[in-house]
Amino acid sequence: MKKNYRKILISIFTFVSGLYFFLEYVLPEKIGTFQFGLYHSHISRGFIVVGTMAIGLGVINIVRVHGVALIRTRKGWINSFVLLLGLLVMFTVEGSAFLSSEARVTEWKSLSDLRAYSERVRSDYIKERIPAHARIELLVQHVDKIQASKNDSSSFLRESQDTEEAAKISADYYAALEVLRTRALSLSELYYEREGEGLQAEDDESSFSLQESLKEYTALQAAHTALEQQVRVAAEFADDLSRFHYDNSGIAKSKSLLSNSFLFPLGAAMFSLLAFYIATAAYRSFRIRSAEAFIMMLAAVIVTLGQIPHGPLYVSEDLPLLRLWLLKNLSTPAFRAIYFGAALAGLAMAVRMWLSLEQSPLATEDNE
Amino acid sequence: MEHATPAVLVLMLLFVGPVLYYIWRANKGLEIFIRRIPGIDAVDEAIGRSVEMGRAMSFTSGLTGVTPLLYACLGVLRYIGRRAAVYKARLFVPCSDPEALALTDATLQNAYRTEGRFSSYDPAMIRFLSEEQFAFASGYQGMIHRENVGSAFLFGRFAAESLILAEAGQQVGAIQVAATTSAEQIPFFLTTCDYTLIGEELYAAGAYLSKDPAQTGSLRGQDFAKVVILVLICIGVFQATYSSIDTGKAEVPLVKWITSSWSSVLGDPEPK
Repeated sequence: MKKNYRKILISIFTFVSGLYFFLEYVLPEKIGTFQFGLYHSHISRGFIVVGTMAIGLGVINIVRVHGVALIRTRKGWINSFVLLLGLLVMFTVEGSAFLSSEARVTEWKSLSDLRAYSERVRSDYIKERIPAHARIELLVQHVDKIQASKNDSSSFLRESQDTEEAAKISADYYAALEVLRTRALSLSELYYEREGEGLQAEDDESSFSLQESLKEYTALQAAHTALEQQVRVAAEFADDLSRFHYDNSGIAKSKSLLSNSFLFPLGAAMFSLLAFYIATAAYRSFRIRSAEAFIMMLAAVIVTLGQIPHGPLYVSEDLPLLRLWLLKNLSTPAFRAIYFGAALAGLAMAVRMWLSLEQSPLATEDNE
Repeated sequence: MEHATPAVLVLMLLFVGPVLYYIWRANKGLEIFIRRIPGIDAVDEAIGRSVEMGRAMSFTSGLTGVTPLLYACLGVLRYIGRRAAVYKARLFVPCSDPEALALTDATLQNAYRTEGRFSSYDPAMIRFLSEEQFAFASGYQGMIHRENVGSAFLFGRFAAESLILAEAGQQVGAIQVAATTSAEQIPFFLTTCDYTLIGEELYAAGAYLSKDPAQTGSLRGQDFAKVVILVLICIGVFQATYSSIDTGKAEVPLVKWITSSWSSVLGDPEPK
């Protein structure tokens, strides 16, 4: 009985999940004010999370299969050792590079986010009269803190004299930071004066005219714009400087070495094997042993000669047209027929799975 | 987000209707004839050859993710797994998708359990190689050579690596049965493998091997759905021909009907 309940539960879950995706696809985006797929992206993200967790299954399988081969020194254990070593090295280097890259971005963001901070302070002051002087003072302190990382060897924004280019970027960045600090201080002073006047104005409301408000707004606007522009300039230099330090770090170089010197060339080598395999496969298929093989060879010769310049140049000028005719009128309909058949079969298979109609390959016979 | 038009919903029902009807009829006992497919018959031949020669077998679903196609492949794997369990043959299943790996593992476990040979089941039969296309091809090639397989089954979705996989089997003299819905890879399999199942034959393989009424009924239903497509093609050709004679333009009202969105049917303004 327990097994039957399990089967029923799986069938219900499969049906309900499938029904959601079916309705999400066939129903219009909106029916009146009702929107069926409102949370579709959230649900889809859930599936991505499940898929991501499955990567762990692959790693576990590799470690289990090759770990056993290594421990028991089975035939070919050296291959397993190299594979596990490769996995460990790649995992360490890629993981460290990811963390390092995240740290670089965090440092850069702590500067570039000052723009949004400045906009918020301005908006809060103008709309809600929230005191801004102290908040701009905090911004100045933050800039001081960033400047202090000049000699911090672990920082991606440290000063560099390694190369002429790096020295220039460093100089530009720290000069931009200095200008940023000066502008922040000016703005802070401006707020200090305004907030002082504002307190007096509260005592004497008649002196706080619309004209003065407008003047105040314009002055603050100009100071904030100047500050935000400078944040952008400094952030651009910070990006260049932190990227320079990241690219020249040991971990980034190791990652680049593993990818550019091992992974990509090995992938390319595998791909290049195709050229030889195509030649041997072509040799086998071009041997004329039947009428079908003859037709196949004839079509292949026409398509090949029609594709390359030598065909129209030395054989016939009509070869490219003949090639196109073969592809458009014979090959394409055949492909379409295959696609139609496969699509219908896929649809039927999906319906059978959705409605739990067939004997599941995942079930034992006594489960059915 | 892409949404179906009302016509797509109608067509879907037209395609699915016959499938469900014939599944119902098959479950009621309707005998359905399935034509002989040499490629599927060759599965038993290949298993027998491997067992007789004492060589291993390999089965891969290539780059297939968790899709209906994978379930079609697992139907065949279940059959091969059961035979391997009965004949105590060595079987390797290289995988490239971690999600498919979990389903493959469950399928093989249950195949061995069904035959009462669960003690012979070895989790190391299923090997995750890599999600990266050519790393997978390289791992597969190495495994085929090292294990000197006697038969190789390539069922599923393949891309440029198909020829590398098939050539590896060819080099060790394995009997190879391939089945794919990737139309561009069919020529490579045809020239390299002993038997090739084309397109929907892959989906038919499960029905052919299991004789499950739901699957055989579905096959008959698919044939009727193909008749619907054929009728639609004929209507489209007739409308285009008539329109080009009458107005000089090949206008097809059928296409307009298929592409008309829900908003044009319900009269709502187009969603922004």
